[in-house]
Parts: sequence; C-alpha cells; structure tokens
Amino acid sequence: MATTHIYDVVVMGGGHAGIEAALATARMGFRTCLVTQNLQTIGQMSCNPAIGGLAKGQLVKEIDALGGEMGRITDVATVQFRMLNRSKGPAVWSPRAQCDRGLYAREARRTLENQRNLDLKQGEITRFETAGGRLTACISSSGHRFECRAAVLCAGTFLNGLLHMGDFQTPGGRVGEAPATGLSEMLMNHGFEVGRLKTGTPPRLDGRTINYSMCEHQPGDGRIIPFSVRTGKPIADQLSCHLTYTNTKTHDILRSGLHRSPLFAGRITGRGPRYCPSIEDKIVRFADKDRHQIFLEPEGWETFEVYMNGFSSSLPEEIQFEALRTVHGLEQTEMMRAGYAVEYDFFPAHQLHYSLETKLVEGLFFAGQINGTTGYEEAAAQGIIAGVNAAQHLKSEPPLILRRDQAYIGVLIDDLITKTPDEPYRMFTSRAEHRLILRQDNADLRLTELGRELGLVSDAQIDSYLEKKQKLNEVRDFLHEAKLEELSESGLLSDPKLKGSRFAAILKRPEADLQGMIQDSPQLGRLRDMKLPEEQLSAVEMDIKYDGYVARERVRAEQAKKWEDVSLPQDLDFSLVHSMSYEAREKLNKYKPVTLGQAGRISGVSPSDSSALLIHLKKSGML
Amino acid sequence: MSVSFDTICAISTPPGIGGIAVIRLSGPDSWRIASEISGLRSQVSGLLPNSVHFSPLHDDGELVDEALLTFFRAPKSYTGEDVVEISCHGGGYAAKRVLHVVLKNGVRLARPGEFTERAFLNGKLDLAQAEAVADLIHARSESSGKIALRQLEGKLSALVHDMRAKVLDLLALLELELDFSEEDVEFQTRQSRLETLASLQEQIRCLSSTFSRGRFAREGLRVAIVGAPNAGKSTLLNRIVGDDRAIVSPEPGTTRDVVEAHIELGGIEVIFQDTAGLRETNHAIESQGILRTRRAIERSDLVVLLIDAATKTMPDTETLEIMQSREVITVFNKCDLAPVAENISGISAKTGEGVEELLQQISSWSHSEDITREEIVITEARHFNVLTRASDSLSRATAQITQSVLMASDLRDAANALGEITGETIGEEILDRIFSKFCIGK
Repeated sequence: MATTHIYDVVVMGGGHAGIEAALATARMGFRTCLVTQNLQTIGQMSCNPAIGGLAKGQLVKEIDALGGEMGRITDVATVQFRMLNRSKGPAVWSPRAQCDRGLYAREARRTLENQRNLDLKQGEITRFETAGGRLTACISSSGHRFECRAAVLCAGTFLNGLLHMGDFQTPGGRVGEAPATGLSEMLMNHGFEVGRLKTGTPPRLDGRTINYSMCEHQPGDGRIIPFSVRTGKPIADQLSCHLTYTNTKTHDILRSGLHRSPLFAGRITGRGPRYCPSIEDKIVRFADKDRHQIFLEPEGWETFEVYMNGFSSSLPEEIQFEALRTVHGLEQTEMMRAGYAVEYDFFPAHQLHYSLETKLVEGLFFAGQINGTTGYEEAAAQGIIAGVNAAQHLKSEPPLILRRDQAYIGVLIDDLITKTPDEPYRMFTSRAEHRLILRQDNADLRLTELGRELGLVSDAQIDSYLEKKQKLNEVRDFLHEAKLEELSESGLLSDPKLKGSRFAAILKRPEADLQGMIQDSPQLGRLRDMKLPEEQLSAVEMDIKYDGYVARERVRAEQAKKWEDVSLPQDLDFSLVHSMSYEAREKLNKYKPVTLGQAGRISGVSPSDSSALLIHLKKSGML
Repeated sequence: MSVSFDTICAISTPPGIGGIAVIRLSGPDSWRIASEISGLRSQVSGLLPNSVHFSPLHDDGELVDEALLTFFRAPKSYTGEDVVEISCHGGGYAAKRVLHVVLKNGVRLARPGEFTERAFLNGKLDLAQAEAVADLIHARSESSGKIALRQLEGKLSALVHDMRAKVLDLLALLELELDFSEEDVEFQTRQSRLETLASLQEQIRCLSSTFSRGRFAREGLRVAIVGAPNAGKSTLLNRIVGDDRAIVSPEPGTTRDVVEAHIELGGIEVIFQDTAGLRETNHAIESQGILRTRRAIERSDLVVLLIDAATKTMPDTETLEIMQSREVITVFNKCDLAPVAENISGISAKTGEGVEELLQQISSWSHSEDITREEIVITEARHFNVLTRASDSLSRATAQITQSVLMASDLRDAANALGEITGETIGEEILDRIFSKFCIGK
C-alpha cells in the first residue's frame, strides 16, 4: 500500500549534486529525504576516477570553504595527488586527486547516513504536485507520496537516458542502470523547455595486461595537499598514472568504424562536449594530428581496473578493442568494460533564478547535469547552492548568490542562466575574468565566513579557519613592516644590496619565494615558528607578489560590479526599448536578466544595446 | 513610463544670415507633426520615404513660411528614427518661427548632441564616429574637417577595432593553452607572441604620435611671437595677416595685451599671438601685459623668438627660462637695417623679406602636410589617453611573457582600453562626457 511521508525537503538523486544539496538542507535544520533509484550507487563516479583538475579544483575548494563535503570525501578516497598548472603561475594552480571509486562512494554514503535530519530512501520520483504554483509533494513510481515544501532535482544523465555503443543502443542512465522516465514529460507539461545533450566515457582495462614499461610514468606530487581544511593527515603512499599515445594505426582502425558511430551516423542528436571529445571526434576534428594522449588511471587500491582517459568512444565494442590494442603498452591488453555514450534530457537554465529555483514552480530547484553541465565538481557546486537556497526559501531568507568576482561557483551559475549551452558546460579558468582573485589558495578566505553564517560550517572548521586567517594577517603585516637587517648566509637574502629593503618589496622579485625566505632569514624566526605550509602561505605570497595585478583585478571587478548593482525591473518589456537591436530585445525578453550586468553578458546583446538600455532606464526614471 | 524616445527638434544650420535654414525633427511623431503644420496633413498616409515636398507652414492659420520638407523613414535616416527636415528661409527669424510652431505642437527641443546620441544608440554611428560629428561641426580649417570626415567614415574605429581583435586573438590562444595545459598542445610560440605584441605597440605608437599634429588640426597651432620691446613683433603679425591688427609704434612697450590673429597655413589653422615686449618694468599695466605674455608662452605650441638684428636685445631671463620648455624658432628682424650672418634666419617684417620662408618653416614644423595626407589622425585627448593605457598594458604583457596568467590580465586591460575608443567597452561616464560636447542641432 502506498504511504505518505512528510518532509521539509526532498532531494531527487544521490549523485554529487544530490549529496551536497541534501547535506546542506539537513544541516540548515530542515527534515530532508534523499530519494534515489538505487542506494548502492550513491556518490558514484560515473566517468573518470578523479576529482579536481583545472578550474574544477577551485570549485572543490570553494565547496569545502562553504562547508560542503566533496573535498573531504575526496581526501579520504585519494590514491594520487597532483597540483596541476604548476608552471603557469599560482593563480591557476589547480589541485587534482585520482580516487578510489569504491572508497569515494562508501565515504559519501557514510556521510549521508550520519547526518542528522536526513533520511535515505530508494525509489524513483516520477511526478510532483503543486498548489497555486508552489510545490507540495513528490510522488514515486510506486505511488509513495513525499509531502514537502521544497525539492531539489538532481537527476544527472538519467532523464530519458539512452546509451549508445556503436549500432547498439539501450535505455539507461549509466551502464547497467535504468533511466528515469516520466519526469521530463511531466515537467514539459508544466511548461519547461527540454533539450538533449550527450556525454561519453572510455573503456576500462585490466591493469594486469598493460605493459607499463612502454608508457611514461606519472607519479603523484611528493606532498599531498588535502582539498579539505578538515582533513588531518593525508595518505602516505600513492598510486601512479601512466601516459601513452595513440598512433596512425589506431586512427586508421577508428576511421574504419566511423560509419557505425552513433554520432556520425546521426543517431545521437544531443550535442557533446567540445572539451573532452570522443576519440573518434578527435581524429576527425584534428585530422592532421598523428597521435593523441592517453592517460591510464588506476580505479582504486583494490582493483586492477584502469581508466583509459582520452579514449572516450561510442564506437562498436570490437572496434574500440581492436583500436586500443595498437596503442603502445596496450598490445596485449584486455578490456574489462567498453566505452559508451549517453544521451539525456536537460533543462536550459534560463528557466532558473540565480538561486537555482525554477521560475515556473516555486520551491522546485534544479542542480547538476540536468542544467547542462558536465563534471562532478560542477554538479556538486550547484548542489550545495540549490540546497542552501531551498533552505533559505523555507526560512523566507534571501538566497545565496555568489558574484562572478567572488567565486568560480558564481561564474558557473551566472554563465548557466545567462547563456544557454549548446554543449555540456565545463568550468575553465578562462571563464573566470577575475581569476587572479579567485584562487584555490584563498577559497576559504573568500567563503568560509559566508558558509558559517548560513550554518554549514562546523565549529571546528571555523575555529581553524579563524586561526589561520589571524596567522596570515600577522605574516602579511610583518612582511610589509619589517626591513631586512640581518643578511642570511646564502640565498637571495644574503645580497647586501637588499639590506634595508622591506621584506614585502623583496618578495616581489621574480626569484623570491616566501617559504624559502622564511627558512633562510634569521629575522623571520617568528614566522617559521608558525609552521604554515606552503599552500597556506601562498594566499599571502600571491597578494604581495602580484599586488599590482591583484589591485587592477579588483578595480575591474569594482567597475563590473557597478553594472551588477543596476537591477532591472522584472516587469520590464524589453521589446518596447526600440533603441536596442531586435535580437537584443528578443533575447532579453527570453532571459529576463535581473541586472544590467547580466543583460550585457547575454549573447546577442552588444555594448551599444547595454548603453541604450541604460539610457532608457535613466530616461524613464527607473534608475 | 516613457518607453521609447520622444520626438525632438532643433535648428540644424548655424545661426546668422544664410539662404536657407534647416529645422530637423526626429522621433516617432515627426512625420505626423510636420504634416500637421504644413499643407500635407491630408496626404500623411501617402507620403513616401526620401521624398521632398514644397508646402506653406501655418501657425494657427497664419502663414509662417514656405518650405521644403524632406521625409526620412526609420531606420534609414541620420538618427535611425523617423526624421523630417524642414528647409525654410534663412536669416534666423523664419527659422525661429518655424521652430516655435514645431515646439508648440508637442515636440521637445533637442539637448546638445541628442541627434547624434540617438544615431549612436540606434547603431547608426559608433562611438568614434559620434565624436567625429562633434569635430566636424567645429571644424575650422581644411585639415580638421578632413580628419573628422575620415573618422566619421569609421576609419579610426576600423583600425582600433582591428588592433583590439589582434589583442583578443592573442588572449584567446593564451587562454586555450591555460585550459588545456595538461594536453600536449602549443597554439602559439613565444616568439610569435612577442612579434605580435611588438607590432601592436608599433601601431599604437604611430597612432599616438599623430595626436600632437591632430590636435593642431583640431584646435589650431598656437604660435607666440616673443621678444624684447620694439623687436618688431606687432609689425610681423600685421605682415603675416596682411592687416593692421596690432598697433605699431616706434615706442617700446606699445603692445600691452596679447593680440591674436588666425590664418590658415598649409591646411591647418595657425593662431599667432603678438605679445607684450619683455623687459623689467615698473609700469603696472605693462607688467600685467608681461604676465599675460608669459602665460601665452606656456600655452603655445611654438614660440617665435624675434630679436632686433641691430640691438640684439634679448628678453629677460625669467622669460627665457619659461621658454626652455617650449619649441622655439629664433629669427632676427630688421635685416634690412643690419646684416645677419648667413646661417641665421633673418627677416624684415617691414619689407616682408624672409616672412614667407618663416611661415614655411612653421608649416613644416607642424607637419601640416602629413595631417592632410595621412589616413588616420588622433585628435581627441580621450583617445590619446586610452592608447597610452593600452600601450602600458601591452608593455607589461611583454614583460610577463613567461607568466601567462599575468600576461592574460594585461591583455584584458589592453582590450578593454581599446574598446573604449570604438565603444566596444563602455561606461556611463564616457557617454556623458562625449555627448555633453555636442552643440545643439547635430
């Protein structure tokens, strides 16, 4: 018999977005139920066994600063750590951890189960009920009613998911798992616009059959820097990744199977990501390249399974197999699982407010891949924001909206709701115009206090944060005030020409590094005693070393903020602003931007359209 | 709530006596109102765009004037809106009466620059072009008119847009490399990056260097004639303008105030300033004059230091000090009375000997030929400042060639700066500043 459950919030989906959303609402004091098709697959890493990476590492740090769990779970599951982009300057350093899939999922599940206010239930929500435009209940396929005042939909790639492998296709959200059907249709009936995207995953290999001596060895960094400020001691040993390349023989075989590719044969209609294209996509698009990189990544401590990163494919299994065997080191390799592509429904995010609440149904929030993103980190970032804002909604408090100069998360959400993606959206540092101030080393300085106000940051986290902040301020003040009096025996600080210079001025020299100075100088003993690791010092070091750049970045951010502060009346009919181009008027009426700054970022709205809009607002007394 | 622009009008021809005057109306009601005050009321629905109609104009049944009305339909008009241009009789009185009738019928008098502002906002002109309109209106010499016309054609915008596009290309490749730094891709060598930066810097340098000349073209070249009392400065001025502009007497210290005379020289306007002779004096008015002379020197682009070939008297030392920071052409006068050495320019303001050569020297100093010949010249201080900022950013970018993240930040600054010329990046203040410069009717 169907039963009725009463909750404050229902979270649909147990992936990376669902986890953060459910933890956020529960921690902010609301009775929450996470409903998922299969409790065994909570926290599943469906694609590559890694968290972080370029720009994504920054997202994880921000989630952690706000009190989310992705960083901490990653630290538990890490098998290898690397700081990427080391050669490109600290502003874009990005931490990345290879993870043990099993460990990750287990720790995620454990975290959810130990959370007060949070229940887990297996089931599939297929429709919801509303009253007066407000969400009142979610109903499962078996007829169970979950009465609630807010819900967060985090269905990932499961909505009408369709798996492709060469000629063969089958409904599914992930290989071996059923798709979610019914919900998309129901939302369409509610007036939601639905689109179609695709993403793919590569074959998994049996590590025992790989000849690693033919590949380049890629060990982890000597020192692991945890993602989370809550992680104590990082793991001691690490696993290695390996690098190899495809060759012309590989490409010939792949080409021979192209006519059977669902993408080229036209069976896949959804757009795939340009950024991690399938291998068959790469050989067509970059026809002049005679080799492509393949990273061989371990899937965990206790498995031989290896992830073949860079070889994502939806060609028939036998072609994938034949082709991968031409790769150096993989001549004898056995394939454990074949690669495949998945096509799924998404909801163009202009249908959302900045809070991630849908414009059509009050109390209904969307997070993760259904908003058109790709990647665990992007999903989790939306999850925590949707969760926070579901809770804020229930409290009748204003939503948490992070600005573009405040967090990568702010950039992500602004991009999503301002530009309808025609391919899955992945975060890049190039998307963040203020990245010099949005660094991985200062994520906590930017966001922890905000997370604390919301009630997500624990006592322990805020205490250690405040202690760190105070130490950093001490370091900063000291470097700005103290002058080099006592020369060191060797190194930069032994140069008599520098005597009498302030330490901050010395630090600006290209060859200077703060940790080195602290170790060398007898005058900096007090800082040495603080025992601050490099990654904590780098927040101060960056600010001093590049102060001119940081200052200019802040000026740019301030200027941009001026336009963000101009809010647009929500009943404004842009089609009546004749001084704007026709395209601009049409786009603005579709997106209904809330600020002049947002209006200017909508594609098709030119700077002269923005100024025309500004003048219009002034003339009609709306400013 | 006003949702679209209203209809505005102004007299678009300069004040003063002229054969005709033009009153321009722009905005949604311009056709209706123009036809209502003319005899075209009954034909309003049949009027064709770009058609000209002869008609009497009435004010409450009283004939005001007979005029030609030209109708333009949006967007094919100067402002991009519906426009009517009423050509009535010149001479001020008729035009004012027509304007009065139009205003009475609910049209608003345009603010300075408002027609151009609308043209800009309706995408008919870009920012640099809009600025050129202001220049064109104020053009006083052949070359400034030419420069403004070129700018109006969009040549400056096209050049700056092209430079900005190059900066953005550099930036895009740099960003791509940052985004894919884990892959084995290089999109651009460091060498080619440096070459692009150097060529951009060179382009900016060339453009910036036209500013001083461009300014001469726009604002005129100010030449101060300076010398000891009775060196013949006023005689020279009169000789140059061919007119008795300045009072001439053998009495030293005759000229007390600064006397100005404008001539066109090689296509640019040259403003000669005859100054008070410089000597120590206790005479109150004369010393006032000397103060003004010093100010004139400070404001001048070029100083002609005139020395009596016979007495060789120099101005006082304080003045000579002020002159050190200026460009100076030294000339010996009265060479009809006292011989001067071969290698020194000698003139006789009285007989006119050597004056033509002096003017030639001034003209070549100002590069006026280049100005009239050159494709694109910077005349706006705003443009010059923006180019300087862009250039500074590119210098920093060059210095940061190994630090791609910092380099990208510099390139962003450079692109933003360049965009301020074309209006591709824009702020409210820029709009205000530019449009306040316009004079009514354009």
